[in-house]
Formats: sequence, C-alpha cells, structure tokens
Amino acid sequence: MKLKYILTLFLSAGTSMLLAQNPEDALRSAWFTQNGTARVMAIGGAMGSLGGDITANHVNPAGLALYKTREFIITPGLALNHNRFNFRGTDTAGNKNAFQYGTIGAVWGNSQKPGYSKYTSSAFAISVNQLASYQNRESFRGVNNMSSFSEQYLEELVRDRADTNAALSNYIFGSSLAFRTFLIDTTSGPGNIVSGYQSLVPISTGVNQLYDAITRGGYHEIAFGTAGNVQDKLYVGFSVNLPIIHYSRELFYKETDRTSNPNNSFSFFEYKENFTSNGFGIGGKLGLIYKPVEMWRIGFAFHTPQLIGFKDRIRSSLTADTESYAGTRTETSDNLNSGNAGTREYNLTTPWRAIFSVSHVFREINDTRQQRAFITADLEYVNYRAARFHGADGESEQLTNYYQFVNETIKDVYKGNINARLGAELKFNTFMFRLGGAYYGSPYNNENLQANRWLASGGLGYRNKGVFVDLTYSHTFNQDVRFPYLLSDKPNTFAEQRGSIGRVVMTLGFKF
Amino acid sequence: MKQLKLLVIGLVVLLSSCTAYRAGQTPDDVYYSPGVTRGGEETVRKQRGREEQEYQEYISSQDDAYLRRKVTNRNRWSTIDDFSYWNDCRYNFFPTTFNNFNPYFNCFSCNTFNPYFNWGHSFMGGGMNGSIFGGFGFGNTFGWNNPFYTLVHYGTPNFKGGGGTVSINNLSAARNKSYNNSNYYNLPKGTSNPSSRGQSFGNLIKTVFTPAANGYEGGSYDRASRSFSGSSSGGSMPATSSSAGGNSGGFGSVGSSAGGGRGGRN
Repeated sequence: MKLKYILTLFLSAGTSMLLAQNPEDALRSAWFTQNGTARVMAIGGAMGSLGGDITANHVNPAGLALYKTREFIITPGLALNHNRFNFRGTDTAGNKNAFQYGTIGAVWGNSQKPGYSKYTSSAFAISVNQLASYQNRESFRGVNNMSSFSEQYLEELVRDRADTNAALSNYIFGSSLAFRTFLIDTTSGPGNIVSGYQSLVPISTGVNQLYDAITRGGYHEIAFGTAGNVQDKLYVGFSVNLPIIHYSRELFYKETDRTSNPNNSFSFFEYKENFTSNGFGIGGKLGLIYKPVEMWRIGFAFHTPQLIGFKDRIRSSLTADTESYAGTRTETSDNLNSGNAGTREYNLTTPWRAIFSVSHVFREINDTRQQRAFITADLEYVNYRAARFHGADGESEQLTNYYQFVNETIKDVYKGNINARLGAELKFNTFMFRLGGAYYGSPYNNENLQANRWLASGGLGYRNKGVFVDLTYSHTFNQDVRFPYLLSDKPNTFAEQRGSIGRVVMTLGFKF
Repeated sequence: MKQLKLLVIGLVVLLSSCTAYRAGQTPDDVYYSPGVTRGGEETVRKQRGREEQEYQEYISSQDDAYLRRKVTNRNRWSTIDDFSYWNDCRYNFFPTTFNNFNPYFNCFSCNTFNPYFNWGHSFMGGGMNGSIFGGFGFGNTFGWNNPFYTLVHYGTPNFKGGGGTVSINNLSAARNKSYNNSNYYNLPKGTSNPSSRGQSFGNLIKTVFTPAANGYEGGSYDRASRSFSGSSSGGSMPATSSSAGGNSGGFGSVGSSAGGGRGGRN
C-alpha cells in the first residue's frame, strides 16, 4: 500500500499539464529482444524454464530458486548497429556503435534445514538489466514527388480550422514554425478570405528528402526477486520491477528542391527537433518451474503490465528558404516560449506478456566434471495492442476522449504476436560452448508493414575456482519500417529497414 | 583497450582471491546447486546430511521409547498415539507426491479419519482451488507462506492539471493504412511531373504558374494545399478560430513569449 502512495507521489510531483502521446511511443517499451547475461544471450535469450542464472530475475523469477549458492556478476557489452534503409528506391547505410550492458547484480541462495519448512531452499536477488538500448542513428534519404513533410502542418491547421492568429501562435513546435517561415502560407477564397493553407514545396517536380535521427538512452529495469524451492521439484518466485526509461532523439529533417530553378519559390527547409522522454514506474513478474521427471523442466512466467510515468520535453526549430517568396527565415520554439522547452506528462501501461518454456538438462549432478549439456526453448506471447496511455481522473471530457482515441489507435495499428527462443549448451570440465537463436514477430497489424527480428548467437564459458567468465556474440537481423511523417488524407510513405545489430557481451562473476 | 584488459584481469584475480571456491570447482546452479560452501571444504549438503542423521537418531530413539512403553501397557499409552496427527493429509507439504505415488495421500480416506476435513477450509488448499494450478494436481503445494502469494497490487496514479484543445491529426494519420513508396514515374532531375495533377490528389494540390526569369523558362508546378471544408461550396466562408490548437502533437504549444507577427514577404 505504501508503495502505491510513494509511486503516486513521485509521478505527481511537478505535474502541471497532462497531455497525450503517439502510438509508436508505446512500442518503444514493448518490442525488444531478450537481454541478460552473456550465457543467456548465447542461448538466444531462452531462460523461461532453465533457472540458475540471475537473468531469471527479469524473465522467470522462479529460476532464482535453483540457487543454493551466492554469486555476484557484471555484464558489460558493446552494440554494433548496422542500419540499411531503402526509402523510395534509394539505399542508405550507416553504423553506430555504443556501450550497453546486460544483467548486473547478486543472488543469495540459502538451503533450509530439513523438517523446518516445506522449502528445500530459497533465494533472493537484486539485479539491473538493460531491456532495450536506444543507442542508434537512423538515417535515410530519397526522392519524393508525391508528398511532403510540410503537408502534416496543412492537415493540422485545416482540421483544427485554425485562423492566422492560431497558426502564428498555437502550434509552436510545428505548424507555427512553418507558418512563420513561410514554408506554408494561406490560400485565398472568394473575397480574399483565407480558405485554407498551402505548402511552398513544389511536389510535382519532386524534392530530396533526408531523415536523420540520433537516438540515445535505454530501457533499464531494477528487479528485486525472491523464490522458493519445494523439494527440488517445484520452484516458484516473483520479482518487483522498477523500470527506468531514458530516451532522447535529435532529429534533423530536410527537403531540398530537385530543380535549380530560383523562381519556383522553394530552395529547401530544415526541421530540427530535440526530444527527450524520461520514465519511471513499477511492475511485477511471477512464475514457476516444475520438474516432472529428472532432467526435464517446464516453466511458466507472467509479466504484469508495467505502469510507467513519463515526462517528455521538446524543442524544435525550422529554417525555410522560399527564394523570392519570403527569403530565408528561421523560427524556433525557444523564441516563442521564453526559452523553455515544451513539456508533457502522462502514464503508460505496457503490454503484459506470458512465457511458456521447456528445458532438458543432462546430468543434474553435483560434480561439474560430469555435467554435460542442456537444451531449452521459450515461447513468448506479447500483446502489443494492450499498451494504454492514461489521463487523469477529473480531466475534461475532451481530454478523456483524446486518450480513448489514442488507445483505440493502438488497438487498431498493433496486434499480439509470438516470440520464440531456442538455445543449447555443451559442457566440458571447465569450458562450455553455446548456441542459440530467436524469432520476434511483427507487432504491426498490417501486412504491408513487414517487421520481424531474427537472432543468432554463440558463446564460450569458463568456470573454475569460484569464478566464471562468459563471452558471447549475438547477431540480430532487423526488419522494420520508419515513417518520416504521417498524413491522414494521402498514402503514407515509409523507409524499409533491413539492418542488423551485433552484440559482444561478457559476463564476469564469482561465487561468494 | 589495454586498460580494459588490465581491468578485467585485475577483477578476475581479485574476485578469485575472494571466492570461497578458489580451491575447487565453481558450482553451476543451472545444472545443480550444491549449497553454500562453509570453511572452503564442506558443503551445506554434507552438513545437512549430518543434521538429518542427528534428527533421525533423535526421532528413532523417541520411537523406540514409545514402543517400549506401549508394549508394556498398550491401553495406557494408546491415548497419546499421535499417528493421525503426524499423518494428517491436510498438512502434506510435499507437492510431488501425487495420489498414485503416495499411498498415504488420499483425501477420501482422510475424510473418514477426520470428519471436519474440507478442502475449502484446509490450510493449504483454501484460497487456491480457483487458481490455474488446481487443474494440474499440485494446487495443494501453495501455502500462505509461499512467496507466490506476495503479489504487489498497484493502482493508477492520477494527475491533476489543465487540458486544452488537443489536435488529433497525428492520431488520424497513424490510422491511415494507405501506403505508397513509389514515385509517379522515375523522375528526371529538374523536370516537372504534370501527370500527377489529374490523379487522386487533385483536390490536395494547387497549381502555380511561374513566369520566365533569370534565363529559366516559365512553367507550372504543383504545391500541396488543403482547404477548409465548405470553402469550395461558394457560399459564406466557414468560421475559423483563433483558439484552435494549443496542444499540437500532445505538447502544450501556445507560446509564452510575444512572437508578434511573421512580418511581410520580401
């Protein structure tokens, strides 16, 4: 109960305005590959029924109950992003390397004295894991003679029936910047009355479009887990999770005239945006592992939705060169907002997920020289369309309706899907060899948007004299889509992403 | 990189000197967890074995004493026969003893010994009968002390704050599932595309005519445009609003400093 009030207090602090969110922001905290120790990464992230690794604290806490020893581990790593985009027939490639980390923490396993409890042993763990890394640079370019980024401003102003005063002052992170720099202007109807808005971008001759976004941050999770072992047959456990999210994006978008004609009232425009989003919340994971017979383990885990409070900030600017029409002009949101960033605060409930898993472990015996191998597989269901944004009680009907519209949009554009993971280890006296693979299905509820993630991994491990070192390389093949902008009344255009992420991860641990 | 290697090697040396298992194997809890090493030599399992032995010796001696007393005077000592107490199936904490494996576990026979026995009131079964585990036959393993019960419930924290007019244009656009990643044709650099005009976006474009200047020929091209609904019907112009917007893209987007007008064109 205290936790509830503490969280409420934390999330309410400094709040002055609650606004809304885009659907794609919900996906950022839901669609990611399994991260953990090097051992878990090497076996494709399959961890649902295996146990005995601290990553269980973030996947199936029941796996902690296999510990009767104590250990401490750290998992530094390096992510090698290789992005390939095809945008309207033009290929673009780029690289971005970044530091990342897997599971870091400690486990305390304790054997119980027989006869005093039904539990043979119990364990407690504190760990932190980076569930997702946002360190990347996504850049693509192409030629477009069908639509323009600037059209989203036209749609917004016309839909809101905004007059010129509203266009000047009420959209300071987007439409007002375009209107003030003459990237967009009014159109005249009968009697010279404003009848709508037009863009100065000459679509029919085509424009060169460039999208360049540098993203930083990550989705981190602190987990406090405990688990009990009933007669070395049944293992149950749960963990309380504190998600911490930091995401920032520096966006540079540019459209340039494909002609060298100085009389068509358009040379180029540049839109720059600095966006940050910070979130903190709470969630839970619970699960069990059961050994029906020796060497076999069956696991089930359920991840409750995480409730995360976010605070976002945005600053933007726009420069447009409309040649003889109005020349080169620049406007910034800072100039229109006394130097302050725009802010919004809201709550997000992430999708729940369920994991079914089975493992076969050869020789579950004490002598490590005779332990031979294991093979394990996970099947995970994630209901991406269950993400929900929340407004405040007592808010205006208009805002309440807006949140309903956001959530309806999420239900419309996303779906639930299956992730599958498979991994195996071959063990010799002190060395171990591992292989794994995984498949993550598309969250998009549209066949035209092709997206999935394939993962292949392998690694080595060494355990002796109370210390263990694991080294892993995993390679994720990404297929996804990126929309530079979205329009309501025209076909949308997107870049097809077919990049990859190589991850080098090392876990260093010791028993104490 | 060299510093990183030194750091890793240093950590390995430091940690290996601290560990209690430095003289032997590193337990692998994935396969088998032996328990915490004490004194660097003896595992908990060994200690547990010794404790179990001591316990069994104690129980055995108690049993022997009881049997001797009962042989001496059966009627006198039968009143403290605690067989049913120690074998009450309600308190069977061993989950893996299924009915067909455990000859002592039988709820129906248990009822004959204990008329008050009822699953609904049993210490272990109570409250868990409706769980998803009941169907698997080991629902009775979950007692109230089980950590499984310690679920954290939370409610949605609420904010208090102002609202405003929120533009939903971005959300409508997100639900637009019409896509096109092809240009009208392979457009040569610097040429116009008049064929686009007559296509489906005729009402979303405005044709502009340019005069010849600076050595360039005059011509025409299309700009994107949007008109207020009703503005093309001829009659009076539909009303527009100065208070429109204010929360563009979900952000409070009314400027706090006087931006003034945008100035005139050149």
